[in-house]
Amino acid sequence: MITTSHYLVLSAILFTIGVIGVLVKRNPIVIFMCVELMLNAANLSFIALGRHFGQVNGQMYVIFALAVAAAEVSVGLGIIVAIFRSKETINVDEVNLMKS
Amino acid sequence: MLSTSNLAMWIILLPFLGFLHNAFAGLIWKKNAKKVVSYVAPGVVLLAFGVALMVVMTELPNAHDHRLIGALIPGTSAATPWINLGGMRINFELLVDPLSLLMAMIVTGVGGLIHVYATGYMAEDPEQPRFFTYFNLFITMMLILVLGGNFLLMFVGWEGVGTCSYLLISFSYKQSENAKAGNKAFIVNRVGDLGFALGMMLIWSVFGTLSYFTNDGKGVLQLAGAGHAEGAHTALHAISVMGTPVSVAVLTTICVLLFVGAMGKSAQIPLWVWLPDAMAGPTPVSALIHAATMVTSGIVMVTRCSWLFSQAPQAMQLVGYIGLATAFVGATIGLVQNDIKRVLAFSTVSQLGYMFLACGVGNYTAGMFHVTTHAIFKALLFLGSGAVIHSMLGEQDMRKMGGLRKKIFKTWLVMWVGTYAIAGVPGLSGFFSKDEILHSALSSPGNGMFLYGVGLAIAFMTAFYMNRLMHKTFGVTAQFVDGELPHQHHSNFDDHDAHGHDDHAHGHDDAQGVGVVEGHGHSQVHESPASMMIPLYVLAALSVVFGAWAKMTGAFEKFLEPVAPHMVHGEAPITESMGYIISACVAIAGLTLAHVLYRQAKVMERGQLYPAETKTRWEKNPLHPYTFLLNKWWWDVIYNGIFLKIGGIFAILLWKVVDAGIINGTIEGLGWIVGGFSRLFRKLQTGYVRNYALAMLLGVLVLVLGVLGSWTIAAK
Amino acid sequence: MATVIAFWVLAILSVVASIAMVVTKNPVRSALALVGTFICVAAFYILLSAQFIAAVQVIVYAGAIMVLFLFVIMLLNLGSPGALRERGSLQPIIATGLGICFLIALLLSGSLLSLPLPAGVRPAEYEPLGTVRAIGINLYDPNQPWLFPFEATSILLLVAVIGAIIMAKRKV
Repeated sequence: MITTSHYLVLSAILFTIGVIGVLVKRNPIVIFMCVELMLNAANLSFIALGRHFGQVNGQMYVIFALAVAAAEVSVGLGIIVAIFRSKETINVDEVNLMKS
Repeated sequence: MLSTSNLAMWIILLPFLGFLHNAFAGLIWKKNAKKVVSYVAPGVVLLAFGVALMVVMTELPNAHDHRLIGALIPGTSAATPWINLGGMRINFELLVDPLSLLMAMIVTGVGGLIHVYATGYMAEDPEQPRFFTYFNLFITMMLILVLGGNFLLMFVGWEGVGTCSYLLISFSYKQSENAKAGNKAFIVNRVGDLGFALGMMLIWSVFGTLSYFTNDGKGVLQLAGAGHAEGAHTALHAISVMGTPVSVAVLTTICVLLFVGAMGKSAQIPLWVWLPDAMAGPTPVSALIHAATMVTSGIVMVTRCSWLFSQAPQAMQLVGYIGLATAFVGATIGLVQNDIKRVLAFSTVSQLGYMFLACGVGNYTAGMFHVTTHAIFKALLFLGSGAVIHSMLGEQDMRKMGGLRKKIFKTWLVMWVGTYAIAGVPGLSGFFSKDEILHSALSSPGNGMFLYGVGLAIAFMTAFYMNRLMHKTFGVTAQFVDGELPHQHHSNFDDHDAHGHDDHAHGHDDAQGVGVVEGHGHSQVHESPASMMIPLYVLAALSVVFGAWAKMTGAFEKFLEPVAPHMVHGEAPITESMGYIISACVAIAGLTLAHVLYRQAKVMERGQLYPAETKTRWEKNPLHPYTFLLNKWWWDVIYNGIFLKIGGIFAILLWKVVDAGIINGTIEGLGWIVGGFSRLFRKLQTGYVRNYALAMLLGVLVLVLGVLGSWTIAAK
Repeated sequence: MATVIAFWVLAILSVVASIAMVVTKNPVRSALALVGTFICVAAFYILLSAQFIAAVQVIVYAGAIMVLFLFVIMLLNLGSPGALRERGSLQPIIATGLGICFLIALLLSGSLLSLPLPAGVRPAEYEPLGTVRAIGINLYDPNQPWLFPFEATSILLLVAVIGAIIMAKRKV
């Protein structure tokens, strides 16, 4: 029998993989993908918990999360393109204006 | 309830307005500045004298207990707070009583005459407005000192006159010795000021106020004088604050600390060394500040606090002995000095010692009497010597003078009056005031004979050195060739203006060039202008009549009676008229001895010294009396040894070990540690976003663990 | 039983795909691995009776968003592996360690592991909630709080479109 806990644990694992990916990768596009993975993990737990309590709210949240994710990706990729235009690279280690 | 005085503030404000005017005179009057200043500066001071007289005539007689309280700032009351911090309240208040009015009249009266004199003396100095700015400021500060209604206002004046003294000593600041003399005066005075400040703080902590008199009767002098009012004039009584008696030890400490301040300002041993050097300033400065007024502020302060001092017999004894020692040392050094102003400077030191002797034996009135007469005749002597120096084109060395009597007869005449007055020739001012001090000293129980004997010796020496000065300056043969006097450069601007203020009366000669003056048998020595001579006449007349008038009518004692207690306990073994005769004999003996020794010029050749004073024979022996005295008892040398050499070693120790080693080491060590940490932590600031993201994850982890931990604890 | 097998297969697939996405150095491969993960997640949604969301997941994520990703990768010519050389540093090790600690902490929080299915809700009762009809009724029901966020989302998307254009434009 697959319980809600199974889904939640799976969601946690995916989320953690996403976190590690964000921290490890240097390609901002892949970092973005990892963020998307984290969003998906969160969505998965929303749906699982929504079913657990027999409510539609979990699915509603996911719809909005999807919309926000779409907006975020479009703007984020726009930023990456802009950075590439000005720096000729998108390596996050070379985009280090915060270092004095 | 104390009466209020509405006029008193104007005594201070008039010179202050003069000060403001003079400071900006150049802006207002452009090229006429000097002329306007030379009217305004003496004018405001003489006006202030008029106001002081009005206060004495109109307000003082109506005042309850001869005492008024005034406001310092127009349009306010005496209760206007200057400092109002919690329990600490200090007002802009003036105390107008016979003592402060007497001093105000001396400061403005004698000061006004000296101002008039200075208009002549400084006429040619291009920086004359600056001079009178300082002069008016000095008068303002001195008046705040004497009229201030609490110790802090007195301290304001105290520091103010010190500053003006510094500014005026180093008036010709382009000559480094003047600047050094100014520094010396300022630094030595700092030592004394520290004592004054400490004494003031102690008064604050003991009495809880700094005001002399307050309406609620809690003023320092009211508390201190409470017992006296009940008639116990001689017996000691305990001062009590809020019912708690103040111990004699505390009072003694207060008095000694205040007296340390007086030592500095009034040039008493051991802080007297600055006064002779202060003669570097222009002569009117020496007359006004370093003879007539500022240096007497120590005596004024002791007299003001006489209710305190009278409760601390040991402090009074200290005052007396210090005064006596200073008087003696000053007089002995004065015997051999060759600079005319330095003789007078040491004479001043000596006379100040006399005044403190009077305070020490409890006769404050006699001290103030001597302050007054001394202000008159010492101003006369200084101004006279200024006229001599002026006539000699800036020469101050008496060995190069001589034979001036016929050339500047009027100056000679007024100088004689001054000399007889200070020497104590019967009938003149100094005779009465000095005799009163000596008589009080003799009355002092226990050590009366000793004080009297030394006092007489000092009086003898005073008569001697003053007559020596007169003979060397005016008598004997001229030690210079008239017409070949070198121009002494004392002005800042002599480089541009070859004939500075010292030879200004030769303007008509100089206009034709220096060559006309030199070698043509044309007399350079000349009488001073009227603006300088008139104050001399006034002072000379006062020197003659003031002492006799005050003594005969008893007006002076009566005037000051409400202010100071008469604390002389014992009975003199001789009557007052007997004392007069002895004093007169001593004075005449001193004058005669100098007359015999210096009447004839022993050596006629120009430039040679008197045989008795050719120091070449002795100069190798530092302990020979002549060398010893000429070098001021080696006082400066000893001070240099103690404070410069030992102090220097100590300072180097502090510098190299404490400052460079410990303090600097600590600071730099701290800096190094911080720097080390920074170098360490700087590595964390990589500028790589993912590193920051990692730190963020770490933070999230910590948060999650924290929440988990709190759940676990809550579950238990 | 079928759902149990499906769950485990999909779970293993999704975890492997996501790990592959992180591990591979070629961003195109990363993108493809991510598509795989998304599809697995969409399958989970069906298992969880959220059919509409599953469809949207495939359309929006696996379709539109991933195309966008690939498009940018190709545009910037970052496709070749080694274009961004990973230099040796402690960051991956620390990040992995911290990540595992984070996971353990999440699991230890207990509530994840103690939720049985279904908690008083029958699948039969829940099933209709995932349909387009049910979603639509709930979304536009004025008595429910979703209408205003829905409208706000449209504005958000509009802003995102304009922002993306401004960002990616050559010169303003």
